[in-house]
Amino acid sequence: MIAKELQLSISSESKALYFHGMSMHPFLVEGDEVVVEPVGWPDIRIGDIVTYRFEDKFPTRRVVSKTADRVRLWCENWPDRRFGASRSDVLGRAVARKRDGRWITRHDSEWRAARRAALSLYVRRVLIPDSLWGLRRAAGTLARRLGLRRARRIASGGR
Amino acid sequence: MHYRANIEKVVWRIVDGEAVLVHADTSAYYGLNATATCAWEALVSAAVTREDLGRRLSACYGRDADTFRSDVDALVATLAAESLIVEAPAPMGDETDDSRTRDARRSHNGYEPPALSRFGELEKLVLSGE
Repeated sequence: MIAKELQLSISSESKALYFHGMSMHPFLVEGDEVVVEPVGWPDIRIGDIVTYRFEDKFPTRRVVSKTADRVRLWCENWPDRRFGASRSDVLGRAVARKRDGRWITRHDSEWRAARRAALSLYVRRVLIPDSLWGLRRAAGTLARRLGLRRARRIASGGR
Repeated sequence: MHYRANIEKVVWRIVDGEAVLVHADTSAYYGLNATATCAWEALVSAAVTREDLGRRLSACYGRDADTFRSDVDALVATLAAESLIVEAPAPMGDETDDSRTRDARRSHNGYEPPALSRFGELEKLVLSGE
């Protein structure tokens, strides 16, 4: 496992890593070659794709939020699932991808467009619904405190 | 002649006092025992001679540096054969790091000849998208 983690740190276009799975479709698909570079925690940005250690695997997902010691991760093809990783488990950031013999890097417009599209999808599919749900709960709590609405258990006959 | 770790091509991590090395070009990975790791720490910090490595092991294990001569020769030959170390120009000035030596003395106990184990070559790593 340690050797594999070291291997991650020396990936390059001539020593690329394979992506396996469909969770990041369409940006990363089965068989894509990926270069992952070590990255300092302060340099990780929302929208970056990072690789982290989880058991004996190296999941690779998109960062959607970040705190001092954790990142929340998400996959555009699995919008209902949430993932997280601690700072110490993040091993690197994807910086290049090869598909059909063509490399693109994280600075290319195609990469940046995919990042924007993924984050936009995240906002529409996760962030806004979560926020609305939170607002609805807060409104319900406030209404109960003001006596405008009975607690659900009472209203439903205590079942 | 001076040697240093081939830091352009080799990445390593020390776990429980023993180093794991991976060569970027060959994807071969290796393990160093505690004695070889003691020497490796010197090789990554500066360009050193075989005599320097003997002194390093002497500091680690509290024996006369000359007693390590044959072991150092064998280790240097093995590391060089695997391109894990390269010849290097002599460093400018004295780069001896006493604090590292003191740390090494505390952390190493019984002596065993330095050994490099070649575990094989790493297969292409798979990033999980599951």
